[in-house]
Amino acid sequence: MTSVSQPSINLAIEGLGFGVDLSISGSLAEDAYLRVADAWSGALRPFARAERVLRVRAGVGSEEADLADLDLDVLLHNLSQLVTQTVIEERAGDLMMFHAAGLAHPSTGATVALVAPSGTGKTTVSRLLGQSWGYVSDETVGFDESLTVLPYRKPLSVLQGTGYLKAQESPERLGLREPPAHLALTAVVLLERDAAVDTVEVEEVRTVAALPLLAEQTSYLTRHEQPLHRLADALEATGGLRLVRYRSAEDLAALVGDLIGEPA
Amino acid sequence: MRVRCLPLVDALERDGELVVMADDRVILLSELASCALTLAETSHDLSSLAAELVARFGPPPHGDEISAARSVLEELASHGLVTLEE
Repeated sequence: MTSVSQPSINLAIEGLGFGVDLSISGSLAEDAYLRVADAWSGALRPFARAERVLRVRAGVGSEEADLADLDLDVLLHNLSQLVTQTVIEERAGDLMMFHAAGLAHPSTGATVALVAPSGTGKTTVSRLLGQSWGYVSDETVGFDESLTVLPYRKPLSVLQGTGYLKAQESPERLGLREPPAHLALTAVVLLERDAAVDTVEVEEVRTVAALPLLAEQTSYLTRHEQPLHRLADALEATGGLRLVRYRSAEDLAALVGDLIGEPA
Repeated sequence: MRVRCLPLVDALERDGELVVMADDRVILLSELASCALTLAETSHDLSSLAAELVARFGPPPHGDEISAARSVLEELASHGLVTLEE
């Protein structure tokens, strides 16, 4: 049997200010392209040249690939992880990156980083509050030394039906708002979900106590020069770390409004 | 006992408290431990370091000053911030 090489279809996306071209090949390339383009519509990058190409093979094919699967659901799931890993590695030592959901005021660009470990509510908070404020990320909030935030508007993982895999849904399909072009880090919150609290509890954490907490939720911290000073500078410029205990995502709306302003 | 400080990635002080980074670990030290670590940079001898801690913080609430200083230094050593040589 001879394999016929199909032309690949390219899709340009961007995360944390880093351009990635997805080169999609394989027997299901067209279907995969449509689904990936839809899921990643919040992160499409129309103009600049890609800094990295990731080769994705959907279905059967003989092309070399960084990621391949016969099942498009699995492919989209794994693609999200691969792109996340790629952009975070590429910006290591350059951007400070928190494991955080990011929400921005739709007109001013004031951005809050809602820091939380994996599996503790970032996506839920993003899905709900991103309908009022701009969706910046449900995974990683990255910012440079001037506190300019570089969005990572990846698809959100949404549990659907009885499937064991979460679907990758675009922010647009979930009704989330777009943030403005310029985003500035304005507040940093460490979230702690706690079913026992009745109202949102906010505790201001002094810088030296905040750093060990935040370090655990920061990617590649050791790649920075004087990492503690850089983290401390960011915290102190944004009013210090706030440790917030909350029960459900809707309880956080008033706090976010206080920190970055109520959306119009 | 001799004390030797190990290299830190970074250290930041606010109001007498020190937070340090060693390898990829970030550790907040008490005021006493912060002072002991700072002193250990220049004072490598247990007894002189213990005397300096007493001068700054007063005598320890329990036990003698040498045991108290040794205990603080062992705590710092357990975090990989100093090495102790008998």
